[in-house]
Amino acid sequence: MRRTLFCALALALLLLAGCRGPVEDLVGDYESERLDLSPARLTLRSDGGGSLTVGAEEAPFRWEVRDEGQVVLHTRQGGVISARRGRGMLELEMPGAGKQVFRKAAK
Amino acid sequence: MRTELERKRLSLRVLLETAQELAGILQPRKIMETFLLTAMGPIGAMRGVAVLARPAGCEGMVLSRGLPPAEAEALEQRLPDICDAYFPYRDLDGDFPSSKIRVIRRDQAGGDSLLPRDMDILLCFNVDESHCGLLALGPLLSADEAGAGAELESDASTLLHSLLHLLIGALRGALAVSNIRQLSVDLGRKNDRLTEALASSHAVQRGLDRRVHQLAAVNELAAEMAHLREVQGILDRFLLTMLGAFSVGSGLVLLLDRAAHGVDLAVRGAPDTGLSGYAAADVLVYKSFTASGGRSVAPLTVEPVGDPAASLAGSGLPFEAACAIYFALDRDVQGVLVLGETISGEALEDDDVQMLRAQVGTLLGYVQGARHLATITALNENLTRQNEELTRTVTALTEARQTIDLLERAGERVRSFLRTEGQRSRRFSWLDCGVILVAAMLLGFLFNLASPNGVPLVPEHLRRPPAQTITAQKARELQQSEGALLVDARPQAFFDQQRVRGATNLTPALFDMMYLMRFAQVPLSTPLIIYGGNISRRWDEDVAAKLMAREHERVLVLEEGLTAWAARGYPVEP
Repeated sequence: MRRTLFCALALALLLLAGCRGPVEDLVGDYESERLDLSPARLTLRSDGGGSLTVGAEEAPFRWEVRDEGQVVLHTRQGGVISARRGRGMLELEMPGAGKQVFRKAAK
Repeated sequence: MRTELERKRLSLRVLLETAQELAGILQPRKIMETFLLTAMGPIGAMRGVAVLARPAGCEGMVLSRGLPPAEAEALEQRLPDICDAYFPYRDLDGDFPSSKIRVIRRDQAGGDSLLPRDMDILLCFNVDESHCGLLALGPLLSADEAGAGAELESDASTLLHSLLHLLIGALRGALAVSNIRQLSVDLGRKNDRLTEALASSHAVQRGLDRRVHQLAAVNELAAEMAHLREVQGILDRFLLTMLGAFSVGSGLVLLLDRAAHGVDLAVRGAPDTGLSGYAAADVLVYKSFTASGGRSVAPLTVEPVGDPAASLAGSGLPFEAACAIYFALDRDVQGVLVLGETISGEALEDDDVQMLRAQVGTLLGYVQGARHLATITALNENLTRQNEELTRTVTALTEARQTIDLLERAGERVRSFLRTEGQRSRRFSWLDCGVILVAAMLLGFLFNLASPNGVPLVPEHLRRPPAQTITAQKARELQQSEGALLVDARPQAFFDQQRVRGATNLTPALFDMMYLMRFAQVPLSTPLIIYGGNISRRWDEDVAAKLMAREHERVLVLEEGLTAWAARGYPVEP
């Protein structure tokens, strides 16, 4: 019984380690392509935290990766914004306001 | 002395002339006639009678000279009596030499009345083992001088004996020639019979060779068909063997299964002209049945088809039928074997047809065996499947039994646990319950206070001053006059269902991010009209409070929300 439990845990750790690669790829700063408005910066940190910065104001959130590469942002008030990851980009689905594309900024 | 020499010379001359006369004559009658004519003169007889007979059969010839025709004819009629009187059969059975000449005295002869009375000389002689002769001469010319009953002189007697020896020799030669001729004829006849027998034996030999060939082929067929398991393979092998055994160039064998609506067909030496189809095969089998003379379909019937060329014409046969055998395995399975012309062009004999019929009977046995084997195989496969299903069922039942045992044990443990806990619960007091409840409440308060997303103990909208409201009519005027922005504070699902045309969705849950994205550039002096709320949730007031906290100067809450707006007929979407 213990041996089986140990094997299951080891397998789960291996799966978590395997899933860590794509999450690391998402970490970084993203900039929006808003021509008529002031630029917005989206920051995803490796500890699961992140922030949206427009001008001098900043809105913190937490983020996670779910199945099929879907990225979910959790606001402090309990709201949820889903995003779809692409090649070097992140597309946020803003409720009632359409999609907003953020491109990863060069380091 | 001189006279003696003259007589001897005369006797020798007579003997020479007689020998010359008899030489070259091959007919016994002619010999007897010539001898009688030649002998009467030197002996001095005026009449003569000569008989040549076979005493065993009482047959022969009677010749006479010097007798009246009536007496000569009567004498010929008395030949059997003459044979009985003068040629006793027992005397001829080896008692006397074949050339024995007997001088018979008339008073001693039993047939004295059979011959003319004046015959002075009576001689019997044996020609061979089966022929006897009689010579009677008289009256003699010398008897007139010496009186009746005078005996022949010594010289004359010697001459007569010599003449008889010549006669016997000539008759023996003639009879021998006659026997040789008869033997030659008999030999020719026997030779012809032998030739016919030889030809017949050759035909029989060919038939036997053919039969041996057929039996060898049938024997090989039996050895090969014993290993065949499918009907089609049996038909192919059978047809090939029959064609080879009976030297036939083309043929077919067809098996029709009316129950299964199927046809098995084997064709050799000719193309398939569509007989593998059920309808054409049915027609051929029906014509074969009617032409075979059968009145009912009995199991294991094998009948030759009468006049197959005419009766099976128009049945789609790819060759002209020379021989056909109808057969029936049972009422549903029937068939026909059709053979074309032999390679030599000869028709099959009755024995061949009978053997072919017997082989078709053997074929029925093999076909029936193959069909039974197929049935048994299908039954075995079905049985195997059922066994497998039964095994799976037994396995499932065993597993279910194990599961039931496991569940029963688990249930027993649960019952034991509940029994134990029940016993323990009886020791539980209200004080314990109160302590646990207070501890839980303290832990909950502490967690709520420590959590950044904690729920305030007193709802915020009760502590803050109420937001300024506006009616739908004035909100519409404010929108048109000063460009007020309408903000829908409801969740996105409600916003998507219906909203004020041009309104922006801004919920409390996403306020921080949506405000930065959509309202950070809005001037603080722009009027903002908020709507959306129900009895339990005041999203509009929450959003209004947040906007006022961000120092927007004119934040108004629409009275009665979207309902009042829509009721006045102001534009909504979608």
